Amino acid sequence: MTEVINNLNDTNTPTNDINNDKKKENSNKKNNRKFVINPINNYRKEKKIGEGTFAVVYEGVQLSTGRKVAIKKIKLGDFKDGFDMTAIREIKFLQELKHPNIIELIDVFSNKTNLNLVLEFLDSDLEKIIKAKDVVFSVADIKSWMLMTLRGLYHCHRSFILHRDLKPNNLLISSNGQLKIGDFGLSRDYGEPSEVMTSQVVTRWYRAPELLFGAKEYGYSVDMWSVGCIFAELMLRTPYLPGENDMEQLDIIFRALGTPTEETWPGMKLLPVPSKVEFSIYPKTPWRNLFTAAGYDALDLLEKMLTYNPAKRISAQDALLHPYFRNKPRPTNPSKLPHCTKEDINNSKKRKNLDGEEKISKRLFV
Amino acid sequence: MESSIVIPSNISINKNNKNLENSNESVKLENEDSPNNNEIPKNEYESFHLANLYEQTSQYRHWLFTKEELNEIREEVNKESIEKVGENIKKEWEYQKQINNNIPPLKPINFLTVNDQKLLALFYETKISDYCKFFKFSRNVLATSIVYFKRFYLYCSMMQYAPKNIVLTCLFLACKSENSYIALDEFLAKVPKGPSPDVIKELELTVSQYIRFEYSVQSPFWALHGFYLDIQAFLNGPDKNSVNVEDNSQRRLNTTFETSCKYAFISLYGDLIFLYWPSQIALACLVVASKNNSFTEDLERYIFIIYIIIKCKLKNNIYIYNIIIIT
Repeated sequence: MTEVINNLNDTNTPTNDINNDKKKENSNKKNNRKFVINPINNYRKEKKIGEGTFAVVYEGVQLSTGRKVAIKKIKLGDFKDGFDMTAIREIKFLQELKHPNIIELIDVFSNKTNLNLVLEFLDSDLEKIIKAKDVVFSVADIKSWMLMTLRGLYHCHRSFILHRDLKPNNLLISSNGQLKIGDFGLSRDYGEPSEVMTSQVVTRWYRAPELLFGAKEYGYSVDMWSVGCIFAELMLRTPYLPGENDMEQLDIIFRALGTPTEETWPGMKLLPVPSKVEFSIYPKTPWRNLFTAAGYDALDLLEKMLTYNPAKRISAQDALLHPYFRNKPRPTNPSKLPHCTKEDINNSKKRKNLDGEEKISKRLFV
Repeated sequence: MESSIVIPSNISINKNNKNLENSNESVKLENEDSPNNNEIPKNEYESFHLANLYEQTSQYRHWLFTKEELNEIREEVNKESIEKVGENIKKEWEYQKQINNNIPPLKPINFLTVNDQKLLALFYETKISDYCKFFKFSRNVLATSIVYFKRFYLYCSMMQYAPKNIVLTCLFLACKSENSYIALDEFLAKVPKGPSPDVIKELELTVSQYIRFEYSVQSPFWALHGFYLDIQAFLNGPDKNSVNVEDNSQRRLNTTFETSCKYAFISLYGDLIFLYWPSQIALACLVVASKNNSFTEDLERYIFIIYIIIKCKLKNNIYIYNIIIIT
């Protein structure tokens, strides 16, 4: 058998052409190899465009190309343990994920007191578009956004990465309409299913029931629940399951989707929260009256995304193969999607309060 | 120790793949130049779907070299730092001379050579391994910190940064990036004669800069586990419940896997990770381990089938295993 392998190998012997290519490639690589250790002089910050608890975002320019970029400055001074783990995670995953529907990390540089991520400049996000009262969008537009979200997410999942913070606010929109998944500060690599993880992840409204139940072992399905909530939010133009605290969140979910039982979700009673608390029983609220414009296929996909049992919940790959994306109307071409860069001040304030609270859980990493 | 691992001659695979990638890039560029720039080219997603995931990693793009390239980089870095350090020593001597005219003339200095640094690095890599055993860190932390250390000293000389603190910094960074978080104070408290936290915090930045902020490391362990599952499916069919632990092949696979993990630990030392894909290293570990566990025949059959699958670009190997098992 080894002989056969050798013979097959022979057909692969590099010819002179390939050798020439190799030489060319080597010379290319030499240029590539010399990287600038800390490319701080290649970027200029121009104006502040946003501020969070741990980071400030600036609009800036890449001087070597004139390209407009966003520079996320992470302050390091306050951390007694050096680099913040969320920063390391975000950099670690963005360095690896190169996909049209995932935000591009162009460069990283640092000085003594802060760390700067150079990201591609994206002026809008899905939340802004949903909140913009004057923007009208169609069923085909929603399909297009869902398609791009799932493509990006599928790429994360096949690279063994859980995002763990999907929400409209983190789905950024480029000026040509491309949707890009951003903010990987809560992500982690996944692969060994028995590894214990924290259930304090994902912004509450988009948090999967198994997380609310305190599960320490979970998988890609938590991201799919968030996508389901976003899908519903796109159709309703208002958050679908907005709970004020964790227990109310569960109550709202049960009122909307019916209380889960041992039959619909085997093993549920073994999770920390349901083993202690008795929930009131609600029937499922019929969707037909709520999602009036949605087609049958859309509701079928939504139902598969908002399935209680994480093992039965649809995966990103299967969702992409769902008839919804092949049926008419065809998803809108990204460049023709409605766009909005204005910010509704009242809503952003409300969201910020919610964010602040969530940030506390961000520090309790693992 | 290392020479006992026989690596199949697979450099050509490396290079061929790279050429492919280059040609893809040129096609993409042409697309971008075309006038209908607003529309995404149809094959954009396709190329992401079909591309080998490993070829998208930073490890492949920036940290895979040929032996010659490695030597070249090292010689260059060594030369540069000798110049720098030599200059500094001379300056210091001149300064001293201004104060005291009687000091002896500057003696020629024996600088570290590339080879010296390689041997020193090997020593400190075993130190990392000791620390990991002491702290009971996972093998992922071990692999990642060793790779950080190697990458750092590829573009930096030990004459510029002393290795002892770099070892600790790499370990601390690896803990953070591999989800084994430990507080810095707690970490340093257990290190005898450890540096102050501020030293580590400052070096953390330096190390990150030299490793290009690329924290993700693909270790052979991950690939090894993949091979294990794949071979198991090959031997038993894809249904997990049908795995017969008493089966001879399965038993031999298990012992082979255990032995190959030990080889994978050894493979972390030295330059292997700069020269080969983690999956190639993992397969080599399996091949060597199979010889001690009379698993060679099964493994060769598996490799042969995989080779055909790759050659024919068949997609679903589980399906093919089923056919092979049936026939």
